[in-house]
Amino acid sequence: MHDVTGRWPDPRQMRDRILRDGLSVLPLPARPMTLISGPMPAALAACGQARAWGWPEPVPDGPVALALRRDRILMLGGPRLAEGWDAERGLAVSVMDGAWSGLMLGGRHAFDLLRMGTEIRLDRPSASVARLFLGIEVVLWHSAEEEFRMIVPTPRAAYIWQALDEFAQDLTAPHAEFAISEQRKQVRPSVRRAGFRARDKAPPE
Amino acid sequence: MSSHRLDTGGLIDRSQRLTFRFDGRKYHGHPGDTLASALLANGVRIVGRSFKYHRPRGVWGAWSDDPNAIVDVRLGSRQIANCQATTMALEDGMRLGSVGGWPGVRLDLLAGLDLLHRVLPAGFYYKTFFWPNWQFWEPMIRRMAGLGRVDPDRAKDYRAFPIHDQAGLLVVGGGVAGLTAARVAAQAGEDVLLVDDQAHPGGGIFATSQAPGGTDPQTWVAEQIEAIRAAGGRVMATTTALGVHDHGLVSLARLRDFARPPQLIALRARRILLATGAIERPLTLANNDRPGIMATSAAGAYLGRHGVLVGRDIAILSNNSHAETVAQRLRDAGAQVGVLDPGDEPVRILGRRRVRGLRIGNRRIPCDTLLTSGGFTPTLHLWRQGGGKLTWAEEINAFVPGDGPRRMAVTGAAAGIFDRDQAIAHAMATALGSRPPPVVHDLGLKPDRAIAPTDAGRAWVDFQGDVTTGDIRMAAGEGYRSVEHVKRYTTLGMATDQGKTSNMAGLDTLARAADRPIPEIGTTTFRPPYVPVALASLAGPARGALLHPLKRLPLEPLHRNAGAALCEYGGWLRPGWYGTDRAGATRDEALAVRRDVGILDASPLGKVEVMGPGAAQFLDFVFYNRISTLAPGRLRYGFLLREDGSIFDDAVVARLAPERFVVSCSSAHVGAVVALLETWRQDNHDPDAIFIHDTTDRWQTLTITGPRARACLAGLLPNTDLAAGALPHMALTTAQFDGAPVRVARVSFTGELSYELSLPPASARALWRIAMAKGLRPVGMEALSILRLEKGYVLVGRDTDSQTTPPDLGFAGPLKTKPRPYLGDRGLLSPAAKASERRHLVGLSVPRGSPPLPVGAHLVKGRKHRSLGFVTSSGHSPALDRPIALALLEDGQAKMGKKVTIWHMGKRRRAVVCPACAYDPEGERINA
Repeated sequence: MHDVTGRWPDPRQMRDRILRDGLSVLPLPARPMTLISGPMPAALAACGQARAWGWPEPVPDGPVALALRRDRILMLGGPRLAEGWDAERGLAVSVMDGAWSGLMLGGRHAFDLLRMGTEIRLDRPSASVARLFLGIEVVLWHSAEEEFRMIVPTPRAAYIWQALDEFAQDLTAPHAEFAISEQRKQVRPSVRRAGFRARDKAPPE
Repeated sequence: MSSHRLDTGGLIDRSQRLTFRFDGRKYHGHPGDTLASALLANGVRIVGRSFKYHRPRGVWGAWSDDPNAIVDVRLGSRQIANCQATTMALEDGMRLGSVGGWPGVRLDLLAGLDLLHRVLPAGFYYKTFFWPNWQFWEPMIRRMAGLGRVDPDRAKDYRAFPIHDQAGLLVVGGGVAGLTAARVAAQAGEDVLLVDDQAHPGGGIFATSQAPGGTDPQTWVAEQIEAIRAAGGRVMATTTALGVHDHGLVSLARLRDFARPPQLIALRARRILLATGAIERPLTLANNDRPGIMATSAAGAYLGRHGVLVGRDIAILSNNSHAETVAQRLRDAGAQVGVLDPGDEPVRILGRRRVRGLRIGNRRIPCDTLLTSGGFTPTLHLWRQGGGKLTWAEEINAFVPGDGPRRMAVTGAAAGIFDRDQAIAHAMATALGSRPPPVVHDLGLKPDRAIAPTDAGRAWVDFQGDVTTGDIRMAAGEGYRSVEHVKRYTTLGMATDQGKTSNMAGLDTLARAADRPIPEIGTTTFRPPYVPVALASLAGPARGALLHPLKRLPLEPLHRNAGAALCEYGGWLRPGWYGTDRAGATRDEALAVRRDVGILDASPLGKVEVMGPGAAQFLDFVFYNRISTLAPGRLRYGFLLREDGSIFDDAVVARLAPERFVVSCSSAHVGAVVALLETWRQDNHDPDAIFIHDTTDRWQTLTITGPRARACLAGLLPNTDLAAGALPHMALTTAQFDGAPVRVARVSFTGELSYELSLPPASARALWRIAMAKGLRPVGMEALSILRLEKGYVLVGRDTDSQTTPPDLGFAGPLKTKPRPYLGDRGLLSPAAKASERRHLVGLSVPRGSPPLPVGAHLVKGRKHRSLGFVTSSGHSPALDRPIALALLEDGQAKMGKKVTIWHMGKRRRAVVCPACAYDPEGERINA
């Protein structure tokens, strides 16, 4: 194998925050994370949560359960459950501390930054916060007005961080015209036409 | 005022003057000019040379359909090759360089090639250059071919990043139809996005200067855009729709300043309305490529958009009524314009480096510019890419939209509607989803003389690719029937303009030559991108460290501190060796493990948890080996198979509890193994009784290996009984380290006493630091590769191929004893899996002192070197001090002790077949 040490930046030399006009990306402090699979009501009951959060509703701080799929949640904070198979509740529990790294994206360009890595809409809800970002499975949620949080697999964190840094440079460069999302917020609920009626009903011969 | 710039009119800012150079000569233009309009305003006629014959070329079109005006542009330190002069905006200080001529386009010494045109027809390279061989000529031809030159140094920081967007209705094209459709849809509450590739939307409205309601075109366009925006819609100028892809995805390229490549927008649209207009066709007359011959509509566009009068004495040859409107505009601007009707008389174009006049029959008609129009081709590239069909409209000699996907529609000239009022009515109805009025195709076509190719002289079909009507007729005569084959043989439509002006003329010529109607000939395939786009836009972030990004170890900084040489192994950046001397370090690390102790970072090893009451039965199904009999606290090595019985991956399975297992699969295959497990979990198993969690990134795995491993680990885990009786080979226990849980698995990939410690990242860092402080030798992947090779342990994908089964590796037990069914069992019982000529894994022995066998070398038999297999792994064993190798060899088990011939790159060597395990075959060290 070839020595490619120099091709990959030393993670210690990467900047610890991305700050640009209208945009900030900050690392989130580590939080206890628990992956729970099984019936959703049982999973929520086990970790004392009333609901699992999806997209794009703003998710509050504090212990929360994020819905990843119909039978899986990721618990951030909250009581620590015993790892393994919980036969009583029918739940599989795995502690995931350190497996994922957290990022917080804020500012008026934050949503545009997300749109550079994933196809996402604020007006299209999803029961799950699991997404592909730059082709990588991440967990992405809306935390406040113009603020989003994302946790990414730790081995991929350096790549995503570097990509976000370069995206941010492009996004906030002089003459960049990225007012698309701002403009979109003013759009009233759209009429939803799925097709062109003219093709649905051909005139009789 | 220059000779061709008018004092008034156009969308340019005459208050500012921009200076630029073309082939070293200084010229002036204004903001709002394109490079082509500025050149025309300065009277420049020759802007390029043709690709093959080096004939002089002038500007033909006014936008992306122009095939001729290609230039290299430099501005400051930035240089961009092969820019379309008709679409690029002029900026102050630009230096334009022509392409295709040597030393320049005004005086091109290669123009003599035109005299050799009889020996350089289409496909001449298939018929010539046989002596001495093609390789002799190819470098010379390649040097002469090509257009502009890329400056690689300046391309390094030329980067673009794509962005995702969406719209309810995407309207492509900002002409009268597009603007109207977007306005009414936005006002009806639709989420509208209109994209137009020009800086000033309006389409052909400026060429004809006719706006709806008799208003000024500029005012009308501004009103429409304002209305769209006021209703919540969006308008993106300088944005080209490059292609329509699956599920309503449209790729858009948005031009930015010169220093940055266009931005790619991946737009998802619920509905797509194409108002992409139509492209004017040239007439296929002899010498129709002379500078000064231009599309009629282009002359109108240069006048309406840039205030440029392309000629003073203009002749127009047209087969449709559209020319009359433009002719009147040109007359109003002060030109002498004659609209000619040659009837059946032959037409001859006079002039060589520029048009001097026409000879029609016996009449000589002087002119400085000839405008031609062979009709219009609706721009339906996107329609076809989206799955729309075409039908032939005889009234306008063109293909128009037929049936298509429900989410797409076409309006305006793109739909073959050339009447403005009808286009507006059609656009409004289509945008609102109501039934549009019946379409009437009317272009006022005169009898179809002008589109017919002439017999006298060479008539150009594809200006840039130098394809003539004669080339197409020759191809038809040589038996080419499919238009796709004709395209590739003649290069028709394969230049940078992708046949925008040439395709219809080419089809017509082929149809006449083949004596078949055009609809029967059909069209070539419309593929994205619609216009050339910078590769940087398509590459997006995938460059440098963002191209093929590797997974990074949480302990990477510590490895760097230890002097690791980091290499790629299975998608991870891992230590290959520690130090600067690769060979020496690898040898020393391997010997340290054999003689003392070493530590290696094995974190990428899979840690896939399978939990639930159905987990044991499930693993019995997906594994070749029986897993349900595994006792808690024990490990078992096994194989995951494909349905054909071949090995998908190998893994060590640990049973942590009766209903909890950990599958430790190969580092490079974790994602694939998780997908395979999840697939089978949901197929024929109770998904509520089995759950799969990939915890690979949660646990860092450090392996302490070597004869002194137990003693070293005892110092780190003082409260854990590590004695062989308490923790034998293939057993597992849990402990605490640094206040965190640690799983201690006694399993070995080195052949020595080994402990794999899986622990959280923070604890792993602490343990690594302690190990370094205690003097443990860090071991990289290269040494590990040698150690496992000495033991004959396989790397799936390296020592196996897509047909290797467990019995081929010597693991036949489960096949005989394990109850069926399980994944791959049928494949293992097939005749192919039991054939005697299967390739078995064996070792190869060569004399001490000889070099290692090359990996990939074939094991051969007979004079013809029939391959019996190949070397899969090879290296020099420091412990044995001789080369060792593994190979897949046909019926290898029966060849033990026999000599085989190794053939590689023309050289032969001999080796003796031996067992795969070359070191400690009894396993005493591993069980110590």
